[in-house]
Amino acid sequence: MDRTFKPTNLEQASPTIEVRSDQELVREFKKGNENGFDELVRRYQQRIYNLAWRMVRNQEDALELSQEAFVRAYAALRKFKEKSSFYTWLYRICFNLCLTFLKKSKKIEQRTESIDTMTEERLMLELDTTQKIANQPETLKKQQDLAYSISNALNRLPLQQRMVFVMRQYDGFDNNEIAEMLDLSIGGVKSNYHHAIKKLQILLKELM
Amino acid sequence: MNPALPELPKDKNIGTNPGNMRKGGVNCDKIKNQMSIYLNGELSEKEQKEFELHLTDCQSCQAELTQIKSLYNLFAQVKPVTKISLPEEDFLLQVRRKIRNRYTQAPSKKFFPRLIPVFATAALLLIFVIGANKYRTRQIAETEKAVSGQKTSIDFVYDNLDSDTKSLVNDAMLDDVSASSVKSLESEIISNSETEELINNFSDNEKDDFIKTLVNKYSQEPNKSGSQRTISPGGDNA
Repeated sequence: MDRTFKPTNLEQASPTIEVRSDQELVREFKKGNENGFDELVRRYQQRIYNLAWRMVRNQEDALELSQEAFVRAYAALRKFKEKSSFYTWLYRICFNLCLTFLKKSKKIEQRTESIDTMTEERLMLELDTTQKIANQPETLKKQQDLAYSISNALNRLPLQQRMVFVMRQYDGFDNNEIAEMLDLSIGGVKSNYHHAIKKLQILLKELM
Repeated sequence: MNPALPELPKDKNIGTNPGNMRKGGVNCDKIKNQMSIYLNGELSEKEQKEFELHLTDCQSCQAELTQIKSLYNLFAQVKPVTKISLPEEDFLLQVRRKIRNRYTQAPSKKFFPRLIPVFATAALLLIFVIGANKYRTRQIAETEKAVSGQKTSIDFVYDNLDSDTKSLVNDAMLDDVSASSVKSLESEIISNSETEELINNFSDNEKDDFIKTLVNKYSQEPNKSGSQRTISPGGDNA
């Protein structure tokens, strides 16, 4: 289940620099090379921050929680058994931290929402600027509407379906990893994803 | 700005069309339920063959697959909003600072477990030393008690000493009683027929203690003006 790091268009590494896999960096760190950990932070800080921000919807808390996830990872990395990929493991650390944070803050505020609402992750989408986008204002407006419509549609999905969909579609996890992180069976993940697609198909019919 | 989204049906009603059977006994509903799994490349080899075979013969499922593909294309045009505006190195520096504050400024937390065996050994040694010391103190106290309990015996022995031996006892204090003097006194006392039986019941240590107590008690009597010295057990006294 090892995930080899593939730089996205935004994270393209210089071709002259050899890109080491997460596994190599983790093993270097275990041997005492702290630079391995620094590289892992640089590699995943954006994605982990995004996850935290999507969950807590507050920049300051998201920053604190995402950094805390790395601090916890640092403390536990030498004992990391590498049964899952580093990113899956790190994502889960951050996910659980955010969940605990949300539950605590809701408790403090003495709100009465259900757990489902407390962990609500209202997704906001924007145009992927790495895709070819026409420069005409009219087309641009249409595409911005598209991002808005998809965001709305996604936010109408039940939490679990939305989380499975986003983790699969945008966070790049496979079914096994999602199952592990959300404590679901593989069948449960597939089923949630399937239902999400079917609902989005209905909700976005006008746009297709 | 955005058209109102249609109402969603219940999960169990999604994609169901009972009785919609095709050639080979493969249900359209089953195929439609496998669309996303097929597009994700997650069908088994056998399922994939069944799926593709069904598609060649089913326009409805072909249309459905085309529609889902275009849905995937929509998803590819957007990405989750990114809010981070922190320079890469700042994020790393802050993480590093937190790690340093937590794990290097409080080394005792990290260090303490390693010292547990050392502390345990030291504690055991301390308990042993204290115990041994208490035991010794108690033994000395018991010996002193035993010796002090012999007062009548000491008096009895002293009274029965001949005048020469008495003077030896009396002089012992003046001469800073030495081991040889004590031995000499001991032999004198033992040789005294009246006290021999009593003395011979003592162990060597008890004999020494007895004699020293005797000397301490009586050596000062003829020389009241002299400073009193105490003979410690074990022979020569500085």
